[in-house]
Order: sequence, then structure tokens, then C-alpha cells
Amino acid sequence: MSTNDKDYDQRQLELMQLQLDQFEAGTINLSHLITGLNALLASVQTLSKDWKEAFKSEWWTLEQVHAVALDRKKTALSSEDDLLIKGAISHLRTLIASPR
Amino acid sequence: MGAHLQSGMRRLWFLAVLLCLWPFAAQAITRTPFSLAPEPPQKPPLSSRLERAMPRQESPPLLVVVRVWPDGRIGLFCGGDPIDHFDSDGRCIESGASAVGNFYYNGGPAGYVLNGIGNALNSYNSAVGAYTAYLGTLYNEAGAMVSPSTYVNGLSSFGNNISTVYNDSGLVPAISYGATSWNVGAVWSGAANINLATGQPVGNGVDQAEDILSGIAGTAGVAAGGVSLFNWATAPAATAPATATADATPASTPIGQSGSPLNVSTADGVPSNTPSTVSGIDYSGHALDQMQSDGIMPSAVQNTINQGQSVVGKVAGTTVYYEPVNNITVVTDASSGRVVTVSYGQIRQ
Repeated sequence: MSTNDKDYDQRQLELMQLQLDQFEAGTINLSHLITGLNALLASVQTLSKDWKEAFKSEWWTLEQVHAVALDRKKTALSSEDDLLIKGAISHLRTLIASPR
Repeated sequence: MGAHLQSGMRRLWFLAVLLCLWPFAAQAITRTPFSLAPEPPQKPPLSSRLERAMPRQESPPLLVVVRVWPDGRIGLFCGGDPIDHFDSDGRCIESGASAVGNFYYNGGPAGYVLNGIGNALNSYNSAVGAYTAYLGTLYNEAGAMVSPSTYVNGLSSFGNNISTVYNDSGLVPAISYGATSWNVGAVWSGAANINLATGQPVGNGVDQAEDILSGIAGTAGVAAGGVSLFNWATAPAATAPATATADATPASTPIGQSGSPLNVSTADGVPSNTPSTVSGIDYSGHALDQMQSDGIMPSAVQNTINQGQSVVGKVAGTTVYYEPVNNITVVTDASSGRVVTVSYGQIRQ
């Protein structure tokens, strides 16, 4: 595990943070966020398996809300969906702030 | 009456003497007398119960050794031939023509089974000479080959339906051989012999090989389109091309894998796949996108639903299945009855 690897992962974490910021700012949609976070998660190299599993677990909440909305052809998310998304984003921010 | 009895006893005694002397008579016939060639090395006696109790070297000259194999067979000779393949010393090497008996009796039943496996691998490798690069890899063709149940093995007539592969990485799903399209089974052709990409008859063996090697019949196409599009086992061949070409995503469609997902949805997030039914399970277009993105096969989804732990999903009306061995989560929506998404990892409850 080199310094370069850690620097690389730090950049991925910053990109994750940026994706969350952009979603909450309304500049990217939920689909974009889910795809982006999953790709960034797949690219990290030095973070622990536990951290990655915890991140994926939160990602799953977003994915579930999104998948059901697509299948049900929803044009807007419900308040329950919003709560789930906000909770997951909060947990994701916590994880991003404390990589291990 | 007494004379008959006496005559019978004499016959029995003569027969017993003949049986006892037969091993030595057989040795005298089959061995060169006074040969200067060294005797072949003596292997330790096998699982003869009597041999254990009384080693042959120490046996009285007229002892008849009865071999009792672990599987219950009793034998005195090689290859089931009491005339030419008599086993006079337990090594069964005197009869040159009894190669099978020789092997069998020297190795015992376990050796025989091992020989069978070796022969099977020999035959396999001979039959697929083009793939000699994979020598040393064991292909699991047992069971499912005859009556395949997984969607990859859509038909039963193909001889190379490989469900798993054992290589340096251990036992891995046959998807790892997707690049060579080895696990296409009769999905590719079988009775129909149709190119999934063009819907046209494939042609001769050379054409078939080209199609296989080019990936047209690869698992990606099945993963994207589902076996219902390709399984012509029960469908008239004449209708297969139109069905396949109308709905099937080309086999060359890329798929992702665990840890390296591939984004297959369109730019605006609309699924690129349309809802489909695979092996009796309904999938949303997004679920198929996810499966294609992560390289998850419908059989793995089916296994997760059947074998995984199920809980009520976070979104009302959904059920979440998690299967820890493959680390796959499947979400179904009761309102549509479909699998709405699939991916690796476990959702936080």
C-alpha cells in the first residue's frame, strides 16, 4: 500500500463527496448518483473490506428506492423515499469522512 | 449307493487338488523358466483379508488365496477370466493381455475408479483438441450435463455444458469461460443450429467453431436476453430466428463483474433493457441492467430467491433476499411481482 494508492483513494473519496453534494444541490439525479458512487467504490484500493461493505450497504438503500421508483414508474419520490435517501446520504458522508 | 458316494468323494478330492495346484501350473505356463531377468518388484498385497492374516510368502504351498475386495467381490483371477488371467500370486501380471485386470487388481477398486477418471479426462481432452491450452483444468460436467437446469445449459443435447470450472483459482462459475463461449450449451445451436446474432443457420462445423470463438454464442447474450429468448428445446426451430433476433441483445454486449461494474443504463437513467421473464422469474428492465452491469446470472438470482434470507424491504411492498455465499441481494416488488434490482453486497436494515 503506497502513498500513491492512498492519495488515489483520497481523490475517490473526494469525488464521492462531490457526487453527494451535487445530488443534494439538484445538479445530478438519483440514477447518476447511484452509478457514480458504485463506480467510485469499485475503484478504491486501500480501504478495508468492512468500510466497503458498510458503504455498499448504504448504497443499497439508494438503489432500492431508485429501482422501485423505476418499476412503479414514479415521476416523483415520496416523502418516505426522501427520508430513506437522506438517511443513507448522511451515513455515506460519515463513512467518507472516516475512511479506514 | 455307497459306490456312488465313494466316486463322488473322489471327484471332489480331485477337484480340490486341481484347484490348489492350478496357480503353479499357470505360473509354469506363463513364465519363462530360469529367466535371468529380475523379478518385477513385489507390490504389497491389497485388501485381501486372508492375505492380511496370512501373508502369501509364508503360506503353505497348497493354500488357495481368496481375494475379498472392499466392494464385496471375491476373485481368484484377473479380468473375470479364470483360464487365461489366473491371478496366481495376487499381482495379476502374468497374463499380458489382461491390462484391465492388471490395473484393476493392482490398484484395487480405488485404482479402477481413478483410472476411469483419467480415461474420462483423456477422452474429453481428445474430443476438444482445440482447447488443449486448458489441459490441467478440470471441467465439471457431472449431473447437470444430462439434464441441465441452469439457464446457460438451456438444452440437454450439448455435450459440453460446463456448470463450474476448477482451476488455479479454485472452483469458479463457468461464466469465467464466457470469453471462449464454452458454456453456451445447446443454447447456441442444438437442434436449431442457429446463429443468435443473425438468426441464420450456422452451417458446417467450421462455421460453428467460428461463431463460438467469436462469442456470438457467449453467455453475455444469454445474460442480456434471457434463456427464454434462446431456449429452443421446445420451440419449433423455424420460429427461433425471428424470436431471437427481434429481442436478443447481441452476445457481444459487454457485461461487468463484481468490483468492476459496467453502466448499461442510458444517459437519462432509463433502463436499456426491457422487462423480461427468465426461467419463470419476471425481471424489470433495470434489474436486467444491473445484472448485466455486475455480471450476475439469472441462475444466481434464482438461487438467491430460493436459498437466501428474506426480509421486508425498506420500501413498502418490497422483499429483500440476500444470499451470503455469493453475496448477492435481490429486491422484488410485490406490486409488479418482478425482480426490480439485483447487485452484490447486503443492504443495511
